[in-house]
Amino acid sequence: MRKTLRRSWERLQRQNQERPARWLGTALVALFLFLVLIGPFLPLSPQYRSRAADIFLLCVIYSIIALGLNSVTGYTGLLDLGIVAFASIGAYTATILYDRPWMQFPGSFLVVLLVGGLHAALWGLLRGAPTLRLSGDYYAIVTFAFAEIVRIFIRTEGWLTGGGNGFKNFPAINLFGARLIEGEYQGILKTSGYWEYPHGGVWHGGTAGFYYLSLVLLILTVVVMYRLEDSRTGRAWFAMKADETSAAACGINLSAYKLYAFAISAFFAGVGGALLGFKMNVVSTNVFDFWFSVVVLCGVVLGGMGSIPGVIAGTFIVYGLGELLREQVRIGGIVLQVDDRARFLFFGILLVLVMVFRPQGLFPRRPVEESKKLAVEYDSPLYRLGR
Amino acid sequence: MSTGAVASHHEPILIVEGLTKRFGGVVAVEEVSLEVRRSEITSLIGPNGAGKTTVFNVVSGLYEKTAGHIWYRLPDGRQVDLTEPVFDPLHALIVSLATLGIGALALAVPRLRRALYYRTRTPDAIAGLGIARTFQNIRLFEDLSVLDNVKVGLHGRVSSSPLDAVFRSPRHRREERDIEAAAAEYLEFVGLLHRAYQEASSLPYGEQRRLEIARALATGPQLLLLDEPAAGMNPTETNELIRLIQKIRDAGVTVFLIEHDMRLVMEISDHVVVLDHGRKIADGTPAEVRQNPDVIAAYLGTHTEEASG
Amino acid sequence: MDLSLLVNQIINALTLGGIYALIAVGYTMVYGIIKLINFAHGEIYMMGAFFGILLIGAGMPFFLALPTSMLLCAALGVLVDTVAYRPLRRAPRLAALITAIGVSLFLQNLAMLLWSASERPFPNLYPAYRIRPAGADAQRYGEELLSRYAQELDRRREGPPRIKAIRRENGTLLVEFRLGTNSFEAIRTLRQSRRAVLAALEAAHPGVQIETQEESLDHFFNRPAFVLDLGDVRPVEVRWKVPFIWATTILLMLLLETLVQRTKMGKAMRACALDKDTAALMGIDVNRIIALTFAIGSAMAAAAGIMFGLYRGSGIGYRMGFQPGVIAFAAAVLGGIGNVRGAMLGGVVLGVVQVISTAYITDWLGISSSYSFAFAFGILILVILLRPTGLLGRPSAERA
Repeated sequence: MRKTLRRSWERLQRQNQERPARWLGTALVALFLFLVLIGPFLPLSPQYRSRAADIFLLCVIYSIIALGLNSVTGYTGLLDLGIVAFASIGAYTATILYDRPWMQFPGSFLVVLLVGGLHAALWGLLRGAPTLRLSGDYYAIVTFAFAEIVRIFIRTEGWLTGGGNGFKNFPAINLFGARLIEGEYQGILKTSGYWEYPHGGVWHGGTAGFYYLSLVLLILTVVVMYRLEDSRTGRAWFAMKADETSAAACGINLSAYKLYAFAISAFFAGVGGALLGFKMNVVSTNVFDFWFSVVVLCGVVLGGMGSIPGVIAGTFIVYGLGELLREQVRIGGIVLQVDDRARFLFFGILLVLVMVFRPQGLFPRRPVEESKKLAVEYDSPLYRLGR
Repeated sequence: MSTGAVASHHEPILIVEGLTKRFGGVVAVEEVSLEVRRSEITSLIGPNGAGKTTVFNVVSGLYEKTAGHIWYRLPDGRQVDLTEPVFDPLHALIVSLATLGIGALALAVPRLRRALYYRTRTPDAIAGLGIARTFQNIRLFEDLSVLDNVKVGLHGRVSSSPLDAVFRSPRHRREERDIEAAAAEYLEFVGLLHRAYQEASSLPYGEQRRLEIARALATGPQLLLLDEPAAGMNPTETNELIRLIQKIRDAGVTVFLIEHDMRLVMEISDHVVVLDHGRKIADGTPAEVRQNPDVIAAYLGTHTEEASG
Repeated sequence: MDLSLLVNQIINALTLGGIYALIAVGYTMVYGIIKLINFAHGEIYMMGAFFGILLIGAGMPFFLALPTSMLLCAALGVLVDTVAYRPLRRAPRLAALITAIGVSLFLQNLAMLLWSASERPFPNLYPAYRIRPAGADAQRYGEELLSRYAQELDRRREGPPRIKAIRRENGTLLVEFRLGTNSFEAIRTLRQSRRAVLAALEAAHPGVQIETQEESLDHFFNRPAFVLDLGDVRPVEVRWKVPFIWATTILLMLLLETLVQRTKMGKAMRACALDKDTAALMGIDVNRIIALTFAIGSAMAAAAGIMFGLYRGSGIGYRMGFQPGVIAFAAAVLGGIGNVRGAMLGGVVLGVVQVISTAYITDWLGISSSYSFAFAFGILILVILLRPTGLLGRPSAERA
């Protein structure tokens, strides 16, 4: 037995050596990572540099939210149309807490981000628990309805949330003495044009520190997601997505693994939402509305549901292009400028085109990973036939 | 033959007693009683629509019974009724959370606890008791690799949580190593290790069947339910399958299978149960069943119902 | 409790309910056949309302604009199906649902680009004007002015803005145009007449200051049809638009019911809803039937859009489809998705729930009335969780 096992294994190894290398892809990915890494310091003229950094920051933050969405929609295959609920719960929780005088201690910023995420995760569980048996359209509709109820709550309970005007003008943000975002500044809601950045930083009152903090959080998210994918949990999710019945027959507790996915998804959406709130310096239901969910979904779908690099690439494309569409383009003497809301027109077309022509997304998950060394020489206590 | 304790050898491992399953007004299975004995191969045969798969689905927890009992002997010798509701802690937790803790009070009152938190065993719980199954129409996780399909089968045998995975705890690392080695061995057992890194859907039909069996074996069953394993196979593949099933039985796993291929059934079965129109019409050794006039009538379609209807 | 307020609320609820029912029918028919939640349906309703007001604004009579807009929306519905949904018939349902969201996003923003982001009023359908001599010397020349005015208008009777009646009423002249007349054209006619009258009077009484005053009256649909006398409390006025909307809704529903239950086409639709593949084997052109379903559903939504504009008199904007779309979807689920009669019932029930919760329940619970919309969502969630087949739904194997 042992001998045949080794022979089969060697045969397998030979097959795997024949895979072609992908130089171009690797180079492009490296270039992309490099650009993201030097985001606030791109070698451009100051105004373009800060605008580019602004766009990069937005993409980084939305990528965290999109990875959160991906852990439900991409891994378990349940369409979530209400990711905005968790983003806004995270954003409101974090910003309202941070406004409190007793929240001013070194490192408190990380604490409010964490609390925002955990609060969102709690609601993820509460929303998820009754919906465990639903699938497909009905699950999507419940998530959507829940998000709308959250939005109505936020708009109505103005004493807590600032109501329709939003919650705004947070204090300056510090982290262990480093200034991340300057306090009150003007022009937050300006949607186009350029700003001057006095602190060599990212946008409005933000600094490069905030950009790198967000980037670190994105990297942590990616690491967490990769580790989950390559584990008992991730395999359970993919199995459920492929076939719930046989997943259950394999001993997977469907309810438990759906709840894990819901909580994890909501947590990351909450943290991302909180970052976004601080970045915009205003948290408002005008930003956190149904179309927020749709655009995040758009990035996930475009990149490829269930594929971590795909989700990030899709999010960068959607938000990057979306922001670039806001810019004036001068060709000769003609000035082209798209109406701000028309970006959504473009997202709509994009969603339809992707679904019709490439439903698996631009960078789908590669189902079969390259082989690692299998521990074939090892007697696993789990290998057993009969009892 | 397995070298299990003599006392437990050939004792019944599964006793179906008066099992009835109705869908609305349609009776799929009516008052069926049968026995599956340890370390034997028992076949469930019958014409299409006889209710064979329904019996499997009730046993494996996909359907709830309408009436009857399914007694199952656990590896530790205890006997349980698979169809009786049992306490579901996750459900209790969910209800308690959703009712802001009020639901937890019901845990203290036995009658309320039974009414609210007892549920029929779900398929995953049944798998955990040592009953694995395959499906009539192969149900693999098609876009996962062959190896991962078997790893999913090992899911219930380990216990690390998502947090273990995130922090790469020692438990997670140990379990992943064990899972991988065991998955490779299960693949080797069915002769598919060389396919480990291919997409499951890319396998030829016969190999998909064997992969599904490997996945089921990976759950560590003492009872394996095979639903028409030879369907769609050519004679060579069927011969290989026969050898595989015998190998599984010889390794000590009890096999309960549904099959239409009479050659396979007659060749490997220790015991055959025949269903027709949801009722059991015969039960015995292959030779006995072959002689049974009711069985012949059911298969040749000269059943008495034609005269009466 | 104020009885007249209650009666008003009930009338309001039933009218809104009828509108929701018209939209819900489209959701339920499409879902019944291709198991797709057509997220873009609310946008079709919005487009219908826009087509309606644009056509009326361009001078088309109301009773022509209504069916034209329905036809346009039917075509739009078929177009959406052909371009966006048909390629995905065999794809996972998730893909089609995401596409539907994309279409919704597209249509909404297209409407915004085409017709601006601000809301528009519903045009005056049945303009009526009161002409009254003004100025210090009005006593002296008033009679003559009015009779000349009447003559001038009489000469223009057959013109494009057709005049229905010219009446003298205690010292004023009441001019009513026919239903569906574009108010801009009516005003132009009035201006022309006035100019002619003033010129004539100027000649007769040189130097006299002559002024007239034209007062636009509420359009026909807004005038009271009848008054409900409730005894001691304030009587309730019912405006013409209410019975009109009710009658139209009921008529459309009856038409649809006949179409689905009595015609060969309806039978083909029901066959497709049960089993598309078998229906195709029976020689039914499934794609044509699906297109037809989209056409009918979209036409109904267009009618609903126009009714809504007529009822509210304002609020035609690119975002108007979202809320009624959601409520109508909830109505379709409540009634049992796939079930046409259920959608009608669900629409009326949710109309009542919305109005009653706005008027009474939120108050009784001591919460803000902005939560009334949340009630529709709450009902939607509860129905999905507790009774996914809805009130009248048939038991379906594939309910989740």
